[in-house]
Amino acid sequence: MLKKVIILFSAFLFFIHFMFTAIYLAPFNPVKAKYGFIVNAYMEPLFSQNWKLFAPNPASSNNQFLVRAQFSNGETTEWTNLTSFMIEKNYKNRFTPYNRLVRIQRGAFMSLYQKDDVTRKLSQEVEERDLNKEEYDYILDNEMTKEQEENGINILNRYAQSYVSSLYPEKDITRTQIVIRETKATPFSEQDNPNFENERTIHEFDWKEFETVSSVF
Amino acid sequence: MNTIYNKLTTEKHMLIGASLIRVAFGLLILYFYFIHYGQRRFLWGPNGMQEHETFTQNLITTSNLSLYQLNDSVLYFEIIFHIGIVVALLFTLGFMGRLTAILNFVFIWSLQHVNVLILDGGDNVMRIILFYLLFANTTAFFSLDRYRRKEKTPSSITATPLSNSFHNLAILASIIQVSFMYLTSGMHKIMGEVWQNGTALYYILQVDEYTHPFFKEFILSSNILLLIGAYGAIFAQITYPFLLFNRYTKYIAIFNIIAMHVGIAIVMGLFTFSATMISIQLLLLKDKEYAWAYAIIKNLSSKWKLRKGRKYEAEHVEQA
Repeated sequence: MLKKVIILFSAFLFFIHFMFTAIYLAPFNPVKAKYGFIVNAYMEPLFSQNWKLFAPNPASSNNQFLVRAQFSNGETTEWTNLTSFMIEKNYKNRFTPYNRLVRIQRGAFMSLYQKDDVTRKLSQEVEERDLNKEEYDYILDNEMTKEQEENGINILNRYAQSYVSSLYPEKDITRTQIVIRETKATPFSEQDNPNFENERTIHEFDWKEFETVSSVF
Repeated sequence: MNTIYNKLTTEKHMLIGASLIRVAFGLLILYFYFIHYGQRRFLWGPNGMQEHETFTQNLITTSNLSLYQLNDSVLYFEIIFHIGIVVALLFTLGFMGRLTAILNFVFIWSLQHVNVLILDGGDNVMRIILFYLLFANTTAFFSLDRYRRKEKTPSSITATPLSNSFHNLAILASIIQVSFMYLTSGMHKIMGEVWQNGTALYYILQVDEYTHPFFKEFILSSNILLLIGAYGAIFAQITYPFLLFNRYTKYIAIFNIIAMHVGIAIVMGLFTFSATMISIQLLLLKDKEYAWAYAIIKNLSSKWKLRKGRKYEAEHVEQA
């Protein structure tokens, strides 16, 4: 008898679990807006998941991750491209560490701009209705997004410093600087236009004091 | 109601599939450990991509736990990392079924949460399914446990209604999880403009990390291929859960998904992601279907051997 109760109860929990999962995975909707915090509290972190794989709008820009270093004698190096050589290696052979390593920089860079559902919706509204942005800043610039941004920059810097120290093992590096060069894809309608110029954005980050980080290679 | 209850409790379904997915996931986990073995200190170590302090702080903000947070020394990191490899190996071999499965889940969970940037959707869904499968019997076949059981008494396999029902619910949970994954992934694609107008692949293939010069040129040369790719992916994903309801259309669902993932693996180079997703399809075939497939292969191979034997005989007779 007890076993039967346990079985029926586990089937009930099973049902509830997938109800929560369904709400958690649904696009932003009224139920989610109201009860989202309960659903998230249940789902995260054990069942955290995100299936917006290349959707609704797939990534389409190319990010080149560049780094330069300054030595104690004041000499500054040229920019080194951390992205292209990995991409080349990944084209030659898919079964190398580069297959995944090449994706780190995009993830870290994207995390600088990533927001949760509610914050994203709000910032869209502010933009669309041309509201006074400062009034909403206390929500938009919350602790969570700030911490995320700091972490993202930190990771990019440490990645660069780890790489640079293997590039110049003999030198005394004092600081480094990173730049992300974002090139937007050529629109579909412009693919046959040889004179089309891709939109480019340069994201320049502050110089960072050098710290010893475990090496990548 | 009663028939559902009976179906749930009288026997364990999909035992072969559950064992196969254990082996497949185990191998993928080992591949993950070994392919990044050289970069382990950078990717997951205490003075790597993240400082230990930042990492532990992140865990607190997301109310998460990881074995790697307990100590910030490199020695501790190395010990945990290498125990993780051993556990993954035992898991793959099916040694001490449930205990190893729990340990493997804890170690994979811990590793994944040190560095989420190296992960993709495949690791995410694998982690969730590994959790569900803690309630299932994944060592009934192709395992050291099976071998050890045979040595003792063959009838020592415990099969109570309770363990049957946990096993079956765990398998069902894994299948529903993947169905939800494809359904939502497909829905989000439909909402995107470039997926609607069939140019999504054109844009994705512009991104150097997700392309290959050879296939890029080939696919971009034809608008029809672009359409087939974009609409085909949406179609395969959205229809997946519904095709699973019927025992014949199930094969179409599996075929669609495997075709899509082979494409993703070859063209976009997301090899481990695709391998994970294809492995999950192993859970969809019943033990009867595996037995049936095995019988066909055996039959074919014995026929082939027979023919080869006859040919050999004929040649030698001629010579004589």
